[in-house]
Amino acid sequence: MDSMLELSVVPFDSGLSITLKGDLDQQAEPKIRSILNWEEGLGDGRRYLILNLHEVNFINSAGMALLIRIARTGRKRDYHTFICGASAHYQKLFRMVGLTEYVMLYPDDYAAMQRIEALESGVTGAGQV
Amino acid sequence: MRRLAYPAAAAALLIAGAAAGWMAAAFLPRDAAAAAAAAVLMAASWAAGWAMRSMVRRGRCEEPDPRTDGARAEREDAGAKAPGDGWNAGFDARQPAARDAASGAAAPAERPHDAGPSAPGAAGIREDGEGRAPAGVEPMAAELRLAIEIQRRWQPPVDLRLDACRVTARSRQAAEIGGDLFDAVVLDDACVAVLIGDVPGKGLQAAFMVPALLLLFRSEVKRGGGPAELLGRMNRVLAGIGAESLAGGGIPLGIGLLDAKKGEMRYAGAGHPAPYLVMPGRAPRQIESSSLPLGVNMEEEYRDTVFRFAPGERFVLYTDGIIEDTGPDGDMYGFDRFEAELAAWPADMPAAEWMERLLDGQERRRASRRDDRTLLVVEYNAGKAGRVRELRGRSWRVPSAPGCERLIAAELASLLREEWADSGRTDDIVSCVAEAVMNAAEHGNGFDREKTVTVQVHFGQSIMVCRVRDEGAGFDPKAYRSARTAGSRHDDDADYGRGWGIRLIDELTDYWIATRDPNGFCVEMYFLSHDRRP
Repeated sequence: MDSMLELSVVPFDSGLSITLKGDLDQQAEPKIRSILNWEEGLGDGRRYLILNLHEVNFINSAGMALLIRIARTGRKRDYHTFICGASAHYQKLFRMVGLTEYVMLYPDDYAAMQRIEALESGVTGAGQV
Repeated sequence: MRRLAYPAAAAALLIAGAAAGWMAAAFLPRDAAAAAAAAVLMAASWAAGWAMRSMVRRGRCEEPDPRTDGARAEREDAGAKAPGDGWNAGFDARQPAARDAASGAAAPAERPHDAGPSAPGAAGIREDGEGRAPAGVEPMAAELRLAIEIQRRWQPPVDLRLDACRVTARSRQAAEIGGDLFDAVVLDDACVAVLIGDVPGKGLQAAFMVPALLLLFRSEVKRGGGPAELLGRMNRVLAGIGAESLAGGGIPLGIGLLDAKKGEMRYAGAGHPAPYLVMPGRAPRQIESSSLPLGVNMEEEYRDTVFRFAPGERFVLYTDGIIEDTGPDGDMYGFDRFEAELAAWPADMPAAEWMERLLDGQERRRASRRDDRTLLVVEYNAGKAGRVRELRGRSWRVPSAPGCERLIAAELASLLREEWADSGRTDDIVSCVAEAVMNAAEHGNGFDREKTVTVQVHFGQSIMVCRVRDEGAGFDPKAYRSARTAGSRHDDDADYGRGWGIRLIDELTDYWIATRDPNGFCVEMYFLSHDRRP
């Protein structure tokens, strides 16, 4: 069965914002990899990756594992991952599986961008998300 | 050292019994395993009871203290022990009904002071004058909590709807660990098997007897046959291991096999109080089913009684604790009062409400409650004007392909929003079912499109049951739990996510069990509604 996921990427100065729409499951990986090979880093010196899940209806354990792999890779490739727009239910599941050890959850794009601006302006020490 | 030997022996027996039970559950319905586990559990229950009684006797006899003895006598005379008081305060794991009962005015009587041979365990332990346990008893608290948890997990609430029928059960225990048991096993889209019984004694013996009997029932019911045949097979297993002497008496049990589409009930009892057939506005009718309890006579034969429900009719099973409930003046509740309650049951009152009212009413009598009280009701609503209800359940069968869980997840979410919107559990249920289907397709059927994954869901007013079946060999939930307990975690990226499906199921369900039969492997999940409106 083909992936039911659509992606749109919006680059900004210091990172990438990816909006996901549809289902995030085991079929999502090749789709995401087609627009971003995260194992190589974000490129062009970008240090922040925002994944907007506002329009994701369904996430299973394989989808959550994929998110963790992307976030964990960031530690090696020097980028921070922010997840925004996840429903209360999926936020609960993310905590259950330990995803929140690797990413910060924000209600929306705007809140995540504010945090990134604060980090960039040095309000918080580098490396803290 | 000897003082420590009793709790140690009891603890070892408890843990051995529990391990045997869980192991057999993982391999159901292998009959030899079920029977063996039943035997081990029963032996463990008897021996644990013996160890506990010995320990309590030693606690009383070895350290006489005039000060505390005097205080104890005073407390016994007063007959008052506040719930949660003293060493027993840690027993918050008690079932709500037991907690409620214990907090009521009848609480002192519900914790008998005379720990007779059939009432070991929490209900039978005396305190010293300062509210402490007798020497050597405190180490048993953890094992008792384990026993309570095992019994709770083995006896989930019953509230399910199948076609035009609805099965509901309510139970209130007289002690922390009760001896009543009940169960409802959905066999297919039309049939459900119901069970009610009463294990002699309470406490630790009951904690292990009840799971053993449920295990035996769930194993045997899947082998087919009518209730009489089922009782016969269970009786031979129980008589063969000397269950009568282990349990301190024969085990009364009643089994019904309901065909919800036909509205037909087939019932057989083994020394259990005769059930009633009740039509609103008419006198209740008792269904005779005299025979010996299980475990007494290897050759005992049981007899099926078959009847068809009339629209609106109810079939009521109960344990003797309902009838024998005794008031402060020694006045037994009795059959007359019970039949009057049955006759006055309004046509539009759901069984759950009627049962709660009856049980509450008994508690208002400030009765001297020494036995558990359980009711199980089958309601048949088909054809009754204004009460016809559509089937609240659904099944799917899908080929094992990657992503096959998506269709089911989407349709189930829609069904839940329509049928169970107030439960607050839609997201939890959809996630669990999707994980179970994904596991079944990938690990059970190896993504072999010739093999199918079957999903069945049934809704009750306050509980939903979901079964996901595949054609594979299955997995051992015990191994999963021990891996989780050990805190194992994969650091390798490639392994990330492995086992998370089961982890989510474990976290999000109220209860789940994995079973295996000749047709494959089944994960059965139970969800309770969060809606608390009456």
